[in-house]
Amino acid sequence: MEQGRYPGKMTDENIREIFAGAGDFNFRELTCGQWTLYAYAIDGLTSGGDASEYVVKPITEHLSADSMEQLYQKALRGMIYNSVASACEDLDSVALKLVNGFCVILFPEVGAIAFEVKTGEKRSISPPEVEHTAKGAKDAFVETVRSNTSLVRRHLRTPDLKFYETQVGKHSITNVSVAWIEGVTDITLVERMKCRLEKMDTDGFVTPSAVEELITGSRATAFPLLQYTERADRFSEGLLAGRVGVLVDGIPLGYLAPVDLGVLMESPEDWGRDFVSASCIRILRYGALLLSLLLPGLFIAMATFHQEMIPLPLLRAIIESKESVPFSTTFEVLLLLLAFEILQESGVHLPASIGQSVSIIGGIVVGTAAVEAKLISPAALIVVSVAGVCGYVLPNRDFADGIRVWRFALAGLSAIAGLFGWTVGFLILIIHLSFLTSLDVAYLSPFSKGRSVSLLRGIKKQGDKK
Amino acid sequence: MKRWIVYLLILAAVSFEGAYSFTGTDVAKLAPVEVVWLEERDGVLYLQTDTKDFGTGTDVQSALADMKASASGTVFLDTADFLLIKEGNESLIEQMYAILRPTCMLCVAAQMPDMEAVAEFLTAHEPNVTLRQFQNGKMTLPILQEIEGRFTLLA
Repeated sequence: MEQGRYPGKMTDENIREIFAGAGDFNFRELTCGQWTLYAYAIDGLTSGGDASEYVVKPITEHLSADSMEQLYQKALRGMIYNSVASACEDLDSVALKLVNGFCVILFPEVGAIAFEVKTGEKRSISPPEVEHTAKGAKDAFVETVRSNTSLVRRHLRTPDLKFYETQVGKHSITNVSVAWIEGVTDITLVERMKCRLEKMDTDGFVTPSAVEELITGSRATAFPLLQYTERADRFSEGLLAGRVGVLVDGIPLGYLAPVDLGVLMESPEDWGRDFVSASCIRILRYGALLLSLLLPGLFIAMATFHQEMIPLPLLRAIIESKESVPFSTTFEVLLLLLAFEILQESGVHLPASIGQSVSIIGGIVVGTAAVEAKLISPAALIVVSVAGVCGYVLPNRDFADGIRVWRFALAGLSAIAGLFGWTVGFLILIIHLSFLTSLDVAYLSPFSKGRSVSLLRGIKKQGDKK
Repeated sequence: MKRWIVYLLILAAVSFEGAYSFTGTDVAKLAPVEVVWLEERDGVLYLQTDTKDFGTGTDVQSALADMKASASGTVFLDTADFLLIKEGNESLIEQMYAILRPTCMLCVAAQMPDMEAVAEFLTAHEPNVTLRQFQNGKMTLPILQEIEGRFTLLA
């Protein structure tokens, strides 16, 4: 919370004024001997039972003193048996503690103490839904940042694991934790991340896109500059590799930076396989990346401008398949790419069971019907389908989305200028990627001199990772 | 500043597109040729393909233009793998250097065979002389013979 947002003295009136109109704000007067204290809490964030048992009861039954100052000191030093009791310096800290599930007791004219009585209501830790693996751990992040830090602690029990905590967002006051391992992570990366969080001037920090855009800066790129994961083991693995982690309250994901192309091509399943097969599959994944990105454009270029590059039997097969089709190859491919995107988008916004039916109806029924009705040629359908399926091989969805955008761009350029346009587009993409940085680390750094061999080798043995 | 660079790039792209107009032909419009027959009779040059397109003219260029003008699709000679020449008309081959690929294979025949059948035969039994080799001085061309509907290639 920004400092000085609520100026004024810590009085009962001022505290109630902050939460005026909030229906879930609870307030109570407590009599403690000759003194009157005030208790505040937010219903739903605090546990009523815990507040009664561990705050109100000790105050009313055991706390007594000759002055308010003595009362305050006794309460702070353990007369009220609660594991967490922190003194509030001003109205800002009172408000912050209240919205974080604390019960605040005001000692008029002396100070206020916040006792932790958070409710136990939160989603339990469940298996990952997207990044599921056959062999890996089954604990995925949840919406509560404290549960997430505990998950990471269970994977990395070293005291060198550090969490820097701050709040971001004027209105959301979102708790954000920056995680790193001292001695492993380059401290300049940690400082850069802290600096970005501190400088953030935003109203809310509640959606993944807001987090990603605000942390990385609003860059004109379709490619992710932060890696996200729902898996605690993958997040821990990233920290062990010397990266900085960010956990945001309310988002069941962990973010890792810096990110480069090599990291985005890693799948959690890789770490559950032996390094030989995992390396082979990673090479296959790079092949799928190239096919997904380049194939539609290449097909348009070859079918429209450079037919001599197609072997004669294949050319004849393509021509035969296009017999009676009223559209040009360019139009067909672009139309199919668009239809593919629409199908994909419709599947995303529907429940899983209906989404599957839409995919089947759209992909098989409509696709087959369109081919049989001679509206599209089988060759174009195969090219777009192969490109689409190869896109699903990419382990990072954000990266795959970036590839989808550039696939369109390359197809468009190929339609205008054939292989020349395709090549120009591909070069522009490489130049664009080479200019991208994540926490000032180059996006294409795995391909820099001396590192490409290790990238091709894929995953090293576990013992060689450092 | 960056915006100006983008505008300049767009301007350059438009100028480039204007200067070098990229005109493609959709694959569906092509009639890809595999075998070309070439002969000269009474001073007229005859050009025929396995796609059943033919043209006549005083030279190869005019015969080709005639063929393209009368063809049902776009005659696509970049896929031609075989050039058959009537025996005694080998001197016409040099006119095909700029039209066919250098790897196009050559052979001579006494008369024009069934073009579709000969394409199948030549794919299985490729002649050993290419256009490039002929251009480089290899003058002995294989001879295609047709006896009772069966083809034979004599080296």
